[in-house]
Amino acid sequence: MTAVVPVAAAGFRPRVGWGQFEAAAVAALYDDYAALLDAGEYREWLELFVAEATYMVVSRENVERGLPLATIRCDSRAMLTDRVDAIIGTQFFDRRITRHMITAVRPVSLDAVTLGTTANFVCVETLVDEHSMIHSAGSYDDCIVAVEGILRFSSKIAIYDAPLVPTSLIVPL
Amino acid sequence: MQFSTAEVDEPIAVRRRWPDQGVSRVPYWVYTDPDLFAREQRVIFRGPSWNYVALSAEIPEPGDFVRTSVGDVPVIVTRDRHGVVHVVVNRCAHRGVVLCQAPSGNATTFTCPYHQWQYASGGRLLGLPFKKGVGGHGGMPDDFDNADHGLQRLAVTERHGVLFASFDDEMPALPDYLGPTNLGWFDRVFDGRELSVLGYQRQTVPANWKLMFENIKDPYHASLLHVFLVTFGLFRADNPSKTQMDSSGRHSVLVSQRSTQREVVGTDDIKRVQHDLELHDPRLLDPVREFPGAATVVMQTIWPNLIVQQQSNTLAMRQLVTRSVGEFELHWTFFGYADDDEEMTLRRLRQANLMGPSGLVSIDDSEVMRLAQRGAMIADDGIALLEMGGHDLEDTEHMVTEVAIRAFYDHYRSVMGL
Repeated sequence: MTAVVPVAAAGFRPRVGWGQFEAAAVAALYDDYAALLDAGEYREWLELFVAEATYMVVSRENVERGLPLATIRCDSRAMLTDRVDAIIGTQFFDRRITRHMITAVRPVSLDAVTLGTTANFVCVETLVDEHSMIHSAGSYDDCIVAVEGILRFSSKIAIYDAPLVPTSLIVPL
Repeated sequence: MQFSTAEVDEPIAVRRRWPDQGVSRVPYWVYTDPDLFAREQRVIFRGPSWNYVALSAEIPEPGDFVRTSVGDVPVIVTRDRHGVVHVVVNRCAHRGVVLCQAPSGNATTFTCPYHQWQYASGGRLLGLPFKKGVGGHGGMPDDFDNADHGLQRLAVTERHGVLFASFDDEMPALPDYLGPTNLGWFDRVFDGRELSVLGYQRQTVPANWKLMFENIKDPYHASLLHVFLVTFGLFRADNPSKTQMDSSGRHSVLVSQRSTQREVVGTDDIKRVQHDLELHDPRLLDPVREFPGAATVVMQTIWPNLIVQQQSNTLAMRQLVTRSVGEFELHWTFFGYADDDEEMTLRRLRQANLMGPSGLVSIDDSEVMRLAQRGAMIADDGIALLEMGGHDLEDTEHMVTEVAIRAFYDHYRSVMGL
C-alpha cells in the first residue's frame, strides 16, 4: 500500500555524507533530468526513474497543512507513463518551452541502498506569443538509488511554493 | 465604509445593447468590459446570491478560520467559541487594512497590525488602544461606540457541511434558492455524511469568470475537446445524459454515465480520439459506484461562484474568485467522506490527476478559456453563437446542446439589466 500522505521535508535538513554515491554522478542525474524535460523528451525522462518509483508534485500549502492531495500523483513509473501519454497524445495545450533550473543539491539521508537529496528548482516557462516568466519555484525531496551502477530516482516530490499555479502545469516539475 | 449593493444608474445599458437574437448570441464585450465587471461585482457577487465560501470540515473546531473571497472581496470564514460560523470582510473598520494574513488557522480574536484594533470571530469590535487617550490627551470622541465599528458581516447559511455567504440579508433559504431539482443533485453528494478535506489546488486563469461557467454548462465540448475522457469512455456524446436547470436558469446540472465500449456512434467526429490507448497503471482510473442511481458524472454549477464536481470518485468544490474582467482564480477543494477507508481515499487522490491545473482532462479547459479570452479581446463588437440544440431554454436528455449556457445568460441579462 502506498502512503496516503506524502512524506515531504519540513524545514531545514542537515547535510550527510555522500557515502557510496558520487556527488558528480548525482549532479549529472539532475542535469539530465532538467535537459530531458526542457527538450520535451518525456519518454527518455521516464527512464530516470525505477519502475517502482513514486512521483508527486504538491503545493507547499498542502504539505504545511498536512493534507494528502497532490497536484500530480503517480504511484508508479507506469502511472507516470500514463501522464506522459496524455501530454503527448490526449491533452490540448499551447506549446510551452521550459527551463528547469536546479540548484543546491544536498545529501540529507543515506543508507545501504538509498541516498536522500533535497534541491531547489525554478521553472521558467515561455509561451509562443509571450515573455518568459517564472512558472514556479520550490524544492525537491528525492530518493536516489543505483541500478547496475547507474543512478535513478526511486521517489521524487516536487513541492511548489506559490499556492496559485499560473494557468496550467503541463511540463512536469 | 461598507460595500453597497444599491443599484446605481450606469451608462452600460445605453452603451451596450444585447444582440437582437437573444441568448443564442453572446456579445464578446461581456468578457472584456471593465465597467461591466465592476457592475457584476456589485449586482451579482455582492447582491442577492448565495456565494460558496468553505466546507464546514475546513473549520471543525471553535476558533478555526479560513480566508477566502466573495467575488473580489476578501473574507474570513470563522467558527466562534460557541461553534457558530461567521463570514466577515477581511478589512479593518478603521483604515481598511487587510487584517488577517494567514490562509487558515485558529484564533478567537483578530487584531489589525496597524493600530491594534481587535475584533471577535463574528466581527464585533472588542477594543482599540488609546480609546480614552493617553495622559488626558487624544482618544476617541465621547460618542464613539464600538458597536458601530465592527467588521462588515455577511449572512451565512449551511447545508450538509457546505457554507454559503451573502451580502444580502434578505436571501431565501438555500433549498428555495437552488430549486427542487438542483437541491436533489446537491444532496446526492452532500447527503449529511461528515466530509473530509483532502487538499487544495489553485490556479489563475487569464479569462473572464463567465467562461468557466460556460465551460461546465457545455456538454457539447466535453465529448470533443477532452480526448482523455472520450478515450476511456468517461464522457461521450453517445452516453446517456441530461441537462437540468432551475426555474431561473442560473443553476444547472449536467448528468451523464460512463460507458465501456470504445468504438460506437458519434466518435467519428472526434479526430483526436485514441482507440488503442491503454493505461499502464489501471489504478489511475479505478472507479467504483458510490452514489445511488446510474449517473457517474454530475457537474453542478451554482450561481454565482461554485461548481460541484463529481467525476467517478473525484469530488471537488471549484470556487470561482473574480480578479479582473480578464482573469479569475479557480480554487479546488478536493474532499471525500470521513468514513472513507484508505483504499477509497487513495482512489480519490489518484483520480484527482484528472482535475486541477495539471489535470489530465481539465488542462484542456484552462487552455481553451485562455484562448477564448484572447479571441474576445480581438474586438468586442464580435458575437458568439449558441445554437447547438436549438434556441430554447428547456431541460434536455442528451449532450449535443448549449441550452444551459443560454439559460445562464437569460438569467444574467435579467440580473444585469442588459
